[in-house]
Amino acid sequence: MSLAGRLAHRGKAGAAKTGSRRRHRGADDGVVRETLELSVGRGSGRPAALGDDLAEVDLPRAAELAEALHSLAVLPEAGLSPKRPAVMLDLETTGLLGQVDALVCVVGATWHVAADRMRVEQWSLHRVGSEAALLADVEEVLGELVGPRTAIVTFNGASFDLPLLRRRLVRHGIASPTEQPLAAPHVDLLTPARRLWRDRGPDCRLGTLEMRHLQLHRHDDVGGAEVVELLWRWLEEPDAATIEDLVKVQRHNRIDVLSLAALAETMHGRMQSPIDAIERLRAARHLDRLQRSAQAVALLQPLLVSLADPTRSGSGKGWEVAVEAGLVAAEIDRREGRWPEAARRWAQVCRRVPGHPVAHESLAKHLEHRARVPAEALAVAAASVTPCERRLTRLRRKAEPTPIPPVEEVVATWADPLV
Amino acid sequence: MEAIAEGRDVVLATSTASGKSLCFQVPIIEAVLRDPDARALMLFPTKALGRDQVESMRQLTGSLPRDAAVGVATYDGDTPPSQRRAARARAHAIATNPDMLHRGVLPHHDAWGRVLAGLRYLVLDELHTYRGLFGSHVGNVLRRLWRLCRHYGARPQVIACSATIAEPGALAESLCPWISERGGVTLVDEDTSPCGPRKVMVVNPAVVDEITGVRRDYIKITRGVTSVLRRSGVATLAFCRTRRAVELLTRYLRDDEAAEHSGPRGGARSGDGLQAQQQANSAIRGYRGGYLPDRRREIERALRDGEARVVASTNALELGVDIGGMDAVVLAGYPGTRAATWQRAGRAGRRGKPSLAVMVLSSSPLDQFVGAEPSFLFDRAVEQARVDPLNPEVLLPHIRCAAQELPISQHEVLPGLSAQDTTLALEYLADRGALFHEPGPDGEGCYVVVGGESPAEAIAIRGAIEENFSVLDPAGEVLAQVDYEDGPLYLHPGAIYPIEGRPYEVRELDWEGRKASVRPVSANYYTVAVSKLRVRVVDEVEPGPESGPTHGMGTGYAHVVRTVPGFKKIRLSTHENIGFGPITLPDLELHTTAAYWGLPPKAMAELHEPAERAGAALAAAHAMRFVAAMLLMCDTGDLGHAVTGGHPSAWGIALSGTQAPDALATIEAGGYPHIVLFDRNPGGAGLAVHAFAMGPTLFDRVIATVTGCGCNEGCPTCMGPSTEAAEQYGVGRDAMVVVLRALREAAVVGGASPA
Repeated sequence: MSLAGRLAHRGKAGAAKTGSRRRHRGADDGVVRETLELSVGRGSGRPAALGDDLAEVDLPRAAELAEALHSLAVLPEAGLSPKRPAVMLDLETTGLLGQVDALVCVVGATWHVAADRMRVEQWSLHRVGSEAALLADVEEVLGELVGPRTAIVTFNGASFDLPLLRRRLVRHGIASPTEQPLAAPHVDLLTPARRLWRDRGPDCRLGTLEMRHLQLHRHDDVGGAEVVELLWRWLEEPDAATIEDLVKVQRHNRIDVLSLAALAETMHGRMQSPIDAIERLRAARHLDRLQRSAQAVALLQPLLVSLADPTRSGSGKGWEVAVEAGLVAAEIDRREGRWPEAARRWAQVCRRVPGHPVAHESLAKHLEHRARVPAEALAVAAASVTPCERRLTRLRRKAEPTPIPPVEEVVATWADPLV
Repeated sequence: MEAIAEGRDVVLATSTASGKSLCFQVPIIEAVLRDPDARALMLFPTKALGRDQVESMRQLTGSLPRDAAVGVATYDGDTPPSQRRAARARAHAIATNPDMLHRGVLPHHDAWGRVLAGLRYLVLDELHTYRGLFGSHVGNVLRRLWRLCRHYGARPQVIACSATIAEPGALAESLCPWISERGGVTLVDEDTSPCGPRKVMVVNPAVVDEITGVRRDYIKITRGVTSVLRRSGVATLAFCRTRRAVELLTRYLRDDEAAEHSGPRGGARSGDGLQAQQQANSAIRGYRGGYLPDRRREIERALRDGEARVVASTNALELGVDIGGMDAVVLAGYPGTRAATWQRAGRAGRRGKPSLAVMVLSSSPLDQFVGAEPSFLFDRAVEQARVDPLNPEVLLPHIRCAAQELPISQHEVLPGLSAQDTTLALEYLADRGALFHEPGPDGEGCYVVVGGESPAEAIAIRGAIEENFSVLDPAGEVLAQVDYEDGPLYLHPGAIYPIEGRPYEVRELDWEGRKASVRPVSANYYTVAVSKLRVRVVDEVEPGPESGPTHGMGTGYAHVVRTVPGFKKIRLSTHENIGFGPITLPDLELHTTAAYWGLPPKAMAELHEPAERAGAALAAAHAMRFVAAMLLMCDTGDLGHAVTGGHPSAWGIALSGTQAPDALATIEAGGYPHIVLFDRNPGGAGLAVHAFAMGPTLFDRVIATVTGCGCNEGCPTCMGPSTEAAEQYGVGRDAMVVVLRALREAAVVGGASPA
């Protein structure tokens, strides 16, 4: 029996016809691209399409953004262009929570067109079948913009936006599966944000960070799950009524890309002048991971001064932070071969927190192998809360017949070598 | 290998252990060494087979120099996420299964871009398993794969391996229809493997009751035959038709072995006896689905190493599991098809040495038919494996998946479909809101899926998948797995559940948690659950009144319920019934599509005896099911049949060939029997409905098959293999033909004309 005959019979006994659902005609090629420009200063007013949410937020100038990004991620030596340091990028898709099989429906991108002006480019999907056309245009525009000196800036883009975008480009044959489209340095702001603010607020979502650190309060905004729902509603029946749904998502997306720039600037400021000891320690750790150890040590200075003060006791306020700062600085000193400084910091920690396992072990190792004073090393090693038996046995043998000095004395000498 | 080197699509249909695997492994390795971007996808019907192949291929690639590395990986449901990424990114040859391809690969094809773009070979191992409804699904999964290969610019060569079936090339071409556009498939079935002479013996147990014709129990005879081989140290594989038979035979053979080694006086309690029992336990093994993978691997190893001499198995060992060469195969009962017979017999035979296959027949009519005419096994071609990838119930959902994978342009022609059929199917789906048609800027519109749910998740290509039952010992260790449908039959409280011949008693069945707690016992009986089938057709659609009187036939949705009211206890060795127990477990329900035919008045008038009516209707139902399966190119297992008493819209206990006849059902069905054909997969696949639509054509073919059979008064071939009808109701072929002719006439009058 022919397929036609079988389908006809199926119609009789099988599922009933639900009525034709031809699509309404949306935009002619199924993709709409909209551009708006704005000045970075808040006083100069914001385009109406953004709503009022951004009215009180300053955006960085091009050169400021370039500087800010350098303190947030490891970037190529040549540095970012001070004219167009980055393209901030955000995708709205039909996938929930990191699901990478989803239609790309709205793409927002913003970059500097002058030192104090930014352009927001936004693509929206008006027909499911036009995703390829949308992505091809996005790829062409972004491909021209980004490069070795113009980074891509995202929030959680390392695990979501960029892999998804690249996979969709491959899916539609716009990029070949073997090449890496949109090759450019990438700054995922979620990484430094987590380093700085993890556990210091309800969560590390962009909206939360905006409220806590940018004083940006969104009104009538849409949440993640809601975006998916609105987009499907729009794509199922793109007409005058559902376009309201799309407009909400578009506004959300435009605020996202612009607030990325503001967030980068704010994080940079906080890295330079942290608001409290914990943030200072975390910023220093972050800088250390970017291989900026000198900056990290400089940032830790107030905490190190407090650690070096012999009159303070272990139970004082903020001592944990000072101890951690000492260990971070000691680690940097050790890595860079400044052994006396490292030893001084370990000894300072031992003095502040007697028995601290990391500090005792590190100091003992230093005394045994570098300073070669086995009797002192033995005193320090034995006073750890978790002494290592093998080390103790070896040191006892080495120290013979020197008498073992009291640990407080050893620690005091090494903690304050100048006195 | 020459044909493969010439770039042709190849089907290898040679015997087991003839080196089929090398025929695809070597070209893959060669291709990768020439071009490191070359990829191969190897499809195996089960995860276990895929893993075995990866092992064996790694042994081959392991000997390559480091700079010429060829990566081989498994990608199935059990592969951890990190290894999945590595498989996609780095492996050259990837072993997977149709299920994973359908749900894990194709919908996410952008992550597989590198693999698909470089795809040189598509290997389909155990091609013969892709038949019936499952095969039709696989055909459509391959259609989607082919479309995506085209998209990424690859045109892989197909290398298929098949066991002995009729026309394996035709099967390959129906599964991969694009092959025919490339000059067709090259069939390699010349077997040059070093196979020695094979003797085939058919043993028909002696008749013990002249009047009823009952013969000696075939399991006992199988025990005797296998024991002769066991004592002579011949490596033997004993194939049983059921899992229960495997357990019984394992236990019997171990007892025999132990008894011999511990001497005539050695009781099981003596030290001697214990040692002998242990020896017997390692020399004689059982093997079947449901054992945990570790246990199965261990038994396979024991077979290869020669530690296990005799293994009783179900068809689980029929597929290409590597167990090395055996000397003899014993078949407990006719496996049902000639293809399966030769597939199993082919397990015996080492390099050039003679081998033996012994088939022990049961009392069932089909077995007895083979006994009467053993030439049936040799003279006729093996059965054909049929698929119908154009079944709309299968095709349409897969087209939705394809549209989700990539929008389907309105000028696109889907692989294996004509341009006309592609348009037809797309418009059909769009008219019903399953696809959306979107106009394009220059008339180049396309069909898309709108909505967040994944169309692939909605298709179960092997039928419904319900979580299976775990069998737990008192310490909470999992001993075995039991399929959902088999749970009530084997795991009801009080059941004896044997594992490799060792009996465990089920103490508790946690239905919701899908867990059965068992404890080891020493029972001298086994249990058999009794099941009853009830069928009801609802929402029936009879051919309209304009087409005349209908005699209560039509199509509709069927509600099939299997109840398990109780179980019997059967003593080991003597097989006598020693008790009965009740079972209270949920019924298994199946909602599907069905067709039904009431017995026409003419046949009612000719057959006055109610039991004869019931029997004739049941025999006719068997024949209709088998012929319909052949015409619809599905597996006979994809369709079910039953006979209900009275119009099937009322509940009635159904007669069915798979159960012993039920007295009440017989009486009911004798009144006004209705034949019901229903699809066995939940929701239906349009098979029964399609059979009904064939109208008189179907009955013409059934009558031709039945009357054209060379037997005297009806045999299993013409009346269906599991027909209890002839035996239990004394119904001959004549009565069945009366029913079929009357049905044909009714179909003509009823106007269900061939479309």
